Amino acid sequence: MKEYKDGNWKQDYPQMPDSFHQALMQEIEKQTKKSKVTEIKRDGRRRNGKKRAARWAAFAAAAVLCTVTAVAAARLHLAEVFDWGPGASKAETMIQTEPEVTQPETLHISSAAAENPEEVNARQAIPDSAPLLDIQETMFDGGMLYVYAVPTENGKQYDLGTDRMYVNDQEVGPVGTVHGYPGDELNGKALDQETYTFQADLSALELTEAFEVTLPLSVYEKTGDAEKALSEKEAAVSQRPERYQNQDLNFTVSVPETMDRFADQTFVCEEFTLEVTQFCVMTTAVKAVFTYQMTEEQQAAYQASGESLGIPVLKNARGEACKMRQAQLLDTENGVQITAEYENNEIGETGDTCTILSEAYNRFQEGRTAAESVFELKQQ
Amino acid sequence: MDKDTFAKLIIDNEQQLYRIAKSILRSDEDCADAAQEAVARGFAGLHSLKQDRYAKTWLIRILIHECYRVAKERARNFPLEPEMRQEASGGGERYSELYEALSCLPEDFRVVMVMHYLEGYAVKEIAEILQIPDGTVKSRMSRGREQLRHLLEEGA
Repeated sequence: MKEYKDGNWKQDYPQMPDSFHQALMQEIEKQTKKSKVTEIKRDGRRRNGKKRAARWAAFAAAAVLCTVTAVAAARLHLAEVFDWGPGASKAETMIQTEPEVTQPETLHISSAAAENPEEVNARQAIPDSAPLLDIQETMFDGGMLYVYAVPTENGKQYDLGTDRMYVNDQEVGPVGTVHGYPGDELNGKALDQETYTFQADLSALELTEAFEVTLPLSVYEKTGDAEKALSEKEAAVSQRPERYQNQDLNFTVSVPETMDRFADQTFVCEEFTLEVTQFCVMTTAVKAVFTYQMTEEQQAAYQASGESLGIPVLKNARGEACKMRQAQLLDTENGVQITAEYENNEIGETGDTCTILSEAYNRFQEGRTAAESVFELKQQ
Repeated sequence: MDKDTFAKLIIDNEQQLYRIAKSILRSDEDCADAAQEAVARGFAGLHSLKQDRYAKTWLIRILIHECYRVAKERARNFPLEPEMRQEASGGGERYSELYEALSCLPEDFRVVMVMHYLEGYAVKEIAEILQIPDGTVKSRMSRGREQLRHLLEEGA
């Protein structure tokens, strides 16, 4: 077998053609808006490469003068419709466009649908089985999946939606679906066409390799502005829109960034013990579960105080708060469990510290800080 | 990092960018396409770069992502027969036995092999760039070496 040592690899590997250099130069000039272009010093060897494609202008080897017209690049749709906070710029570089979409031979049956087989079997097939959605963009930051799609000509005849999806054939949900019409505003931007956006929290799956998504579309008769009942109760006095058989769409999502999961930590203070678990950092979000546990004495004191624990404030190493997006509070047997999602305001390097302010609110007084817990990010 | 410094970094590393793109895309035109897009995205996201010393690895990560995107587009648009796809994607060029053998490896293996054996990146550095575990890098290198050895022996 031939032994390939460092030198041989470089000798036998294809050499960079001049066309590649010229393409980089063109883009750099466009980005830096220089009015005069000077060939940046490179080694003197001439590259033998293919002739440049006609669509790119030719550059002389010597210094040239050219006027570069700045062309503002159109933003991708996902970056327009979702507010990704401080991580938006980085998230935008991770958007993948026009994934290949296929239709599986067999429809997925959700856990809910499996409970109503008669209703599912009674649905009619749509006349044209061509894909109803053109999936244009996806973005996965290691935990959160975002999808942007527009209806195809076939899809424009129906109202579509979904409340779950399948990741590598595993059912996950809920899926946030927004069906926008021209003129609707999303994130302050007016839509110019009918759109569908989907958002799913896949952080629990801890995906590190490209994965397959199946989007099971519920297909309804198009109602537009007409009032149609969407619940059985309303159907008693009003007409329900007809529902057709689902259409499943498959596509693959790559993983340009993986989620960082940090070690669980416990903090003890006078009023409670706080466990911080499932602390996940993604480009577009930080998520954590805060479990406040109290002894019997602490519970008695808590109830007597008339206070309620609120959603913790999360601050980065510089003391800047991360904007809270959403949270769920759950009363437990001996305390409270809060699952919260925040914007990622520069949190995420191992060794960084962040601060959790546990806040308590009294209906007669303003909120107070019950405890300030400094949380050092440690790899799990 | 300012734009001029970033521009210099791109030019100083253009050969490496080409070699890494070439490990994923066979056509020089596709390599240039992906590199241009990566540079554009790099400039667009420059203000979010936390530390200048990570600029190169960050750019390489964007480049690899763009190469995969172009590869996916080509796969969708080209006929399925491998010979026709190779012809259409610039396979008319004659390459060395090494490159032809590398081309037979899965994409994931090729990138890791080129980054280590050609560009000299350590396992940990490759893991950081590709955002995959160290173990995965080692596994791909090991399997890639084995397959490459087998291919080169067959061709000898």
